[in-house]
Amino acid sequence: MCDYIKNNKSSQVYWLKENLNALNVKITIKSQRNIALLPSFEHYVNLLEGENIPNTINNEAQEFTFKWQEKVFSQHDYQKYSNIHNCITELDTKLYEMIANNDKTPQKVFTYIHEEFVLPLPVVDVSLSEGLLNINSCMQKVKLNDKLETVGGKTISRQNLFKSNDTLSNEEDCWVAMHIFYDNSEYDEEVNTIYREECLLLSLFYHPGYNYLMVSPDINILDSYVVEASSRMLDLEYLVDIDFGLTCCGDDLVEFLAQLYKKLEEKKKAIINFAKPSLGIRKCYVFFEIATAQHFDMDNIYIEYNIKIPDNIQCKSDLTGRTHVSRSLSDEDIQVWTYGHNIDLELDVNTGIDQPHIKIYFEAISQDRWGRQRTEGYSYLTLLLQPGYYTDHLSCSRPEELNEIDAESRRFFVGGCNLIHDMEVIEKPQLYATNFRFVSTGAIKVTWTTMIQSHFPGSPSTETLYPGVSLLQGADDVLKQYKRAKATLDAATRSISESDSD
Amino acid sequence: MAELHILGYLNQTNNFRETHSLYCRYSVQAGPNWNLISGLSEGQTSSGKPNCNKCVVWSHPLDLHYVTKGIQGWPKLILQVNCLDSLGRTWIVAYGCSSLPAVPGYHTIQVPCWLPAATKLSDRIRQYFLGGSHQLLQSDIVSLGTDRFKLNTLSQGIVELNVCIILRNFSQFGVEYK
Repeated sequence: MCDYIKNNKSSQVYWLKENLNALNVKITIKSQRNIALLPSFEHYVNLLEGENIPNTINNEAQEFTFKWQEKVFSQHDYQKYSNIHNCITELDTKLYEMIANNDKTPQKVFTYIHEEFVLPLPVVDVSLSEGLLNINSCMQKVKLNDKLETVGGKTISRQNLFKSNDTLSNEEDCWVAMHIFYDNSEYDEEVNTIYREECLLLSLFYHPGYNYLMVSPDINILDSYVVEASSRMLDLEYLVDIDFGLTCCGDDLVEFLAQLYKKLEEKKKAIINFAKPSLGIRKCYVFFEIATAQHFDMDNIYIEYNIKIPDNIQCKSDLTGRTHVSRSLSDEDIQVWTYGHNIDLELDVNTGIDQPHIKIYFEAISQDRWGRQRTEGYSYLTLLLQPGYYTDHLSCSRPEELNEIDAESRRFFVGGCNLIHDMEVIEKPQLYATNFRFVSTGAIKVTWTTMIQSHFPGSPSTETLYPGVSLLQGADDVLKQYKRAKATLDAATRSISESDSD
Repeated sequence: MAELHILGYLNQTNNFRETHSLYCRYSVQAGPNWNLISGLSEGQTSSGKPNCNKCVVWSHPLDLHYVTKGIQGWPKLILQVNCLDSLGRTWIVAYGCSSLPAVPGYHTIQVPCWLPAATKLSDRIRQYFLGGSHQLLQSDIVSLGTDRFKLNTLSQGIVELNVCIILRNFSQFGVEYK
């Protein structure tokens, strides 16, 4: 097996779909790029003047292809098995016949097939079912390995003392191996071996029972592996590629992938269809929350709200509502009423409007144990439709008689409160008859988030589009204020004229 | 494809009346345009006993990743604070709901909590001596708020939430958020 930490090599297991005979292993071997193979000094001296230095930098990759259990000989093995006198065993004779019949030539990258048993086979720990009648479990129990291990360390030699022949034969038949080596040996002119060195490139282990193939190191077609000799790294690198012979399944696979891709595209398209407002309209989303209330006189308070929207803004949400009735919580001698009441508004704003805004009027109302209700305070908020996250504390006030004694005595004995029917009085009290005064009562905490969506990303601001619109709207506002002031004056003079006539 | 990341933690409670241990069940509810890609939209914090400042610290992490086709149904955090007494009994002590901010950045959100109050004197006595509380049968009321005016509630404390909001690709679809 390969050492991952040392060599960055890892093994992999592949389940085979095709016959093993269709397997093609391709080894591509080449010199490492960082090594410049320049000519030796003697060779350079012997060159004639003007003669170019031969291109000895040989980075050309060599490819070797092998089939499953295909025997390819190294130079040493070729010399050995070419002579019948060197062949002793049946395997030697078989190899001799292979050379004689197939007219094979030796290669730098060669193979060892399963029958040669060059390297040990992988060990798989197959746990056997226990039972008194199972002979294998009996053998397992007879093993002295565990007891002896405590005395003198692990004793592998004793481990197989009680193994039956059946077990051994099963283990041997378990794997079929094939190894591919690089021949780094040195030979003299007569092809006699001076120094023999073989470097393992690839090991293949096939398990016929489970029909899987263990490849060590794994297929690697991007970063090459370095050829490793027994004591050093060689200046060579190699790539491993295995063709499993899945060409017949290629069409199915392509069709399957095409279907998958089509589905992915459809899903992507469905996701990308982002809901957009129509042309000429900007969608404005307001996520408003009435959070808490503080400092009111009475307990059991709820808050009624009324949202006023200009004519040029459309809204489908409910514009009025009220929170639950809340009993206070005392926090460091401050009475707090918690609501967490959410109001979601979806507004359609025409693109020509400058500084669009809505107004929200609040009325804090208390409720006693008999169900009688009394207004504790009014407040309002001008909510500019500008994107952002905001928090505000709205102070509340209620109208009272100008005379404080009258007001307190009425409040104590009679109860109730002077109600305001036109909420604009809270906004602009100076424009109305002021026969009452406002008294601060409590505060309401509100938070809101505003988001605006246009049809096109990065729409220009409304001011640049319609500069005259803001001017016209300002003139309208001035006219409205003038009409109100005139009506108030008329009402006041009418009462004076009536008193004069009396 | 517009994406929303909600990273943060359910930090602590403040000023709850309960002296027993408190834990919180939370859920993040979003509209039909919203798909949760990663993270859990529901969860439960650990249980903790209030300290001398009537504060229970949970520091329960939140990590949600949404993909959306529209802004409608912006995610809301719905809380349900429960108490656990020494006998192992548990009951709801508060409900709370808050819209998550739509502005990118770090936010500290204070979620005000409340509980349906006992209307009868016998219920009050029973709750005082034996524990227990009134519960909502329709939990939609917490997030919608349309039918909430029928409720008489008791103000409970505040749950503090610290979140970082990250928005991606919203401006490509013409959304202004800051």
